[in-house]
Amino acid sequence: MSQEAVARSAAIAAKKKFNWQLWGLLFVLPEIIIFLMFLWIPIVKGVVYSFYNVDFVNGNSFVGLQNYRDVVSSEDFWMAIRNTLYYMFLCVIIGFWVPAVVAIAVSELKRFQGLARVAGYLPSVIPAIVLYGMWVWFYDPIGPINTMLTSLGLEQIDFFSKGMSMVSIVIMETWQNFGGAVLIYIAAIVGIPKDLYEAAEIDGASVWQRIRSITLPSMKPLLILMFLLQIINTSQSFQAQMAMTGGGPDNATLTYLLLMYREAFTYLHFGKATAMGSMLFGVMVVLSFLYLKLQRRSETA
Amino acid sequence: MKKLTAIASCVLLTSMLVTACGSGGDIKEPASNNVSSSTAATSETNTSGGDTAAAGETEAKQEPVTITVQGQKPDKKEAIEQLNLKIDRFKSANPYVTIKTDDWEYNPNEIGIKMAANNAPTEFTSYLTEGRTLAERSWAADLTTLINNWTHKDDLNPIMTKPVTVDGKIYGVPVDAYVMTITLNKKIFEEKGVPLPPLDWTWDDLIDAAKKVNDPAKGIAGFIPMGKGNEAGWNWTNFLYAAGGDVQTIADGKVTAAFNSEAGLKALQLYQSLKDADVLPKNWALGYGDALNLFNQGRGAMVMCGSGNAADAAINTGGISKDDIIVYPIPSMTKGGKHTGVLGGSFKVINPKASEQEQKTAFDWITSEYYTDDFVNAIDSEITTRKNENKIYVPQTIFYWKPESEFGKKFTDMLAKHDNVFTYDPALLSLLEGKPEAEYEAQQTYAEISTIVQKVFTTKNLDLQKVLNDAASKIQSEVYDKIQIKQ
Amino acid sequence: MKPSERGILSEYDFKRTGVKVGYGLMCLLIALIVVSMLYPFVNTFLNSLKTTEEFFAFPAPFFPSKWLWHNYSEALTLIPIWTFLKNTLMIFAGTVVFALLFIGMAAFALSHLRVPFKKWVTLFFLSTLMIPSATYLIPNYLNLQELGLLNSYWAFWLPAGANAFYLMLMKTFFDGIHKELFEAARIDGANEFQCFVRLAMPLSTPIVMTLLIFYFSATWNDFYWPSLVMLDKSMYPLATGIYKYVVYPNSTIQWNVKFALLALSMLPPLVFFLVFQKYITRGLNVSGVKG
Repeated sequence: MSQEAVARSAAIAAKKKFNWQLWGLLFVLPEIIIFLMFLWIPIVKGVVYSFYNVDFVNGNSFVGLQNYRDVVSSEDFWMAIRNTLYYMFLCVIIGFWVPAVVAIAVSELKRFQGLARVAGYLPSVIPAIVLYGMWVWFYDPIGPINTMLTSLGLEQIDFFSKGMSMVSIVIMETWQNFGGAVLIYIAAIVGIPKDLYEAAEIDGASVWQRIRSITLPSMKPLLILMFLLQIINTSQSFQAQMAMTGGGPDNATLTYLLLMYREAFTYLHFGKATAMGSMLFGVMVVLSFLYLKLQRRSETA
Repeated sequence: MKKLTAIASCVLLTSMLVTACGSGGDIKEPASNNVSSSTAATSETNTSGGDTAAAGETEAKQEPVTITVQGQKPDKKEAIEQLNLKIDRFKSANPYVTIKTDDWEYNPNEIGIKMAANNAPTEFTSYLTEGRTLAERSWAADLTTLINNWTHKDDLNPIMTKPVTVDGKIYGVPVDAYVMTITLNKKIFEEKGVPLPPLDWTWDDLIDAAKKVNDPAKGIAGFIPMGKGNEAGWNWTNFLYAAGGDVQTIADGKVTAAFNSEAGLKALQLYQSLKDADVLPKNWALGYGDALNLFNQGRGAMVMCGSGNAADAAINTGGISKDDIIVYPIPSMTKGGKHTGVLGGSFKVINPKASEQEQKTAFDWITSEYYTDDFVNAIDSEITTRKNENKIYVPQTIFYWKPESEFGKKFTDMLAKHDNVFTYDPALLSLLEGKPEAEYEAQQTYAEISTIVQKVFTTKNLDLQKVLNDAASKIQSEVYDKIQIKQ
Repeated sequence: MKPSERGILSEYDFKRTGVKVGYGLMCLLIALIVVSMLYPFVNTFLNSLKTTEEFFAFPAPFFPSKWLWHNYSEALTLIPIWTFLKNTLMIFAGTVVFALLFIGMAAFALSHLRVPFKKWVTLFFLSTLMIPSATYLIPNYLNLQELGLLNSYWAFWLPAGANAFYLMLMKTFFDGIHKELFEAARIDGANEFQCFVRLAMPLSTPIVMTLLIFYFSATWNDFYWPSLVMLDKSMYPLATGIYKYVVYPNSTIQWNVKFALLALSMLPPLVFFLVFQKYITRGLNVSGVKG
């Protein structure tokens, strides 16, 4: 090979690399601009509010960390953090595994697979009035669940007691929300080449072994992503709590976001509300940093 | 070719923004009678967009003025009809005024954004509870001068001006008000063969009646107090008031929590004994709508609400006959005691961001028919229209006028003409005694009291006095101590 | 038996009793779930045909004694339903186009192209999920106002791509496509945009369809934000119309009529979901997920 040819191929390689970079930048640039304009600018302004006494008519006045001090010094704030952690824990225990299992099961159906796929997602279009009204009735002392328990000679369940209310809400939310994740998992499962199963079966792998060694590993990146997103989502939950119990009884279902929502829209303390939002933001970002660090360490080890 | 794509995508982005900016201002809709068209409000007051600010200035200089007034939602056909007639009357008297309607209803979830973006209507209806909230945040214009120059300033009902008077200034025009009452479903009483309690009833009568009509196996509760959200605190406060208590006291420039008083303990003991007697719904988590729905379903014999509001919902949307509903005052603690209940109601707010001329016009609009025959006639024909649709008109019990005045009598006579008007027992009206809500941080206080109420509903063997004291000291240190009272 | 027709289980598995019983139980469980999901639909529909007295009757009868279809004709007169529907569909159509294009491109770049400071860019996107939207609700609104986007569809179309959740989902799916496919296409002279449009997107049909369903239900349900952003009634989407004019707190509309409208409003998404889930099947045969 002549020197010229080597130089040329190096130049082509360099150009290709440069082109790659250019293409990459070109592809993410619109999205970066969109995020900047419609998310980051408002977010930064929102965080700035947290250092001000917000007044939309006469102008804001700087109050330093006062909003943060007020928020942290309230008993409800710490109660809300405890409740939110408990809620997040329950959601993982009760809710996280359901969509994955259902997705695998539904993808094995021979008939009515179409209906079964979307059925789980139907609650997303049921108006809140109908949805919450239905669950309040399900949980009613003379509602279907308790009537069934009584007829079986069992003890009635007080679904809205101090101890049970959060569990009741998580059960309802799992029912309400698992369908979206099912669709995502199914989208991944349909992409698994079927010949892998064929080959495994010929090798004598049992059904369970096939799921464990083919299906689940294929879903692994998604499972990790969905877990991460569930943690983020559940840290910001408030709607079901607001609709079902209003945070009660005795603040047993008062989540962090519900408290923040009250500050913003019931007490109209926007400064305090944004301070709460900013604190949650800070904690989550720090946690994800730590997670990335730990992950990198385990990768290098 | 690569370059081309790059440029194309940049152009695409910028052109999108340009068209977007263009279309934002261009889209306008011919204002139809009942449809909100707040583009006018936005374009006038949108100071952030350079070109629209100029339009606002030119408009302010000239005599013609445009105001956006509180509209009605499409289902309130009779009210819309009357509103349009009133607009016509006002326009013929003031030809230079253009009136637009906005059917937005006041909502704490939205008012902050509306004020920040300056697209709230020129005048809107709000609740008496919100008086101080709106005034302190400058979301309601100071109307003191306008009211003082008004011919009818001395004819206003003082019980209604008090809640909208903050630090000596008046921030709203009163409309009507209610005192909290207890609404009974007579049918449940009749089915159980239980005689109705006397109108001048006491707490013991309430417990007694609730026990007799109670039927937990069928899911029928004797009494439905609200237990979810701030409504729980709001409902309980009636008993606190009836026992002679206060939510908070103001003295020496300090707000002090007072609901942990002897009266507070008595009121909480009442809730405890209702709970112990098992006459409440098993599910404590009932908000305003939940409680009224249970009442409409016949799952509860008594519910607590603002004067005729529960009756209105039960009759006009709940399918209960008007003859099966009767309204009682809040029972007195002991025989012969006062039937004090929380006072609530609505008042008109004027947008402080509107120009002075707009504010003045809006004030004229609000008050133009106050104390006139047109006002009475408008409601008269609204009731007539309702009759054709088999709807019952449920009036409030307190109005902007003084009850003993000539005008008040004219109004009462008009109501008496109709047979589709819900009537209160005349004895009831003399028993009702309204007391305004907590002046400072009412919502936060209700939230705190709600947790007390929920404790009683869900926990056994409570030390009630301790529960009250803990809540009082918590709200004292976290909220009240931070309030600075303007002297 | 063709390999594409089998799943985890093959015909041979069904010859074993254990598998058969397990499969039967699984079907039963799924059937139960499906019934529980359909129950609110049926219930809303039946409630919409009852009289007001029956609606509030306790215990509530499951079926109406007389089917009052005129509740529906009354419901249709309550709001300008076609205008609202048109707005919903307009918002949805633009949202999907903008979101899929920009999210897809960015996800493709993060997955298969070289992006400077990739880790930071990813964090730039992902961290927006960690702040509750109520924190920046008001600045967000004022921002749209300053951009002059209030009261226009653009207020929904332009920010449609600002969704880190969907971006990460797309990226994870793109990660599953073998790099060799794109290498081959590049050797054949395709540029990156062609790789994206002709290979990456079609290969990801399942997730694209899933996102389509998500966007549809999000647009269909969102009432609060449009009620603020759209200033004219003629611009409201259906959910906002229902929220502002039908189920608002002081509404005097009878509950059975309200439910008639609610029942109607649940129908289009049902049809949409059923149609679009069909495309959640393997994209092209070359698709492979890294094991």
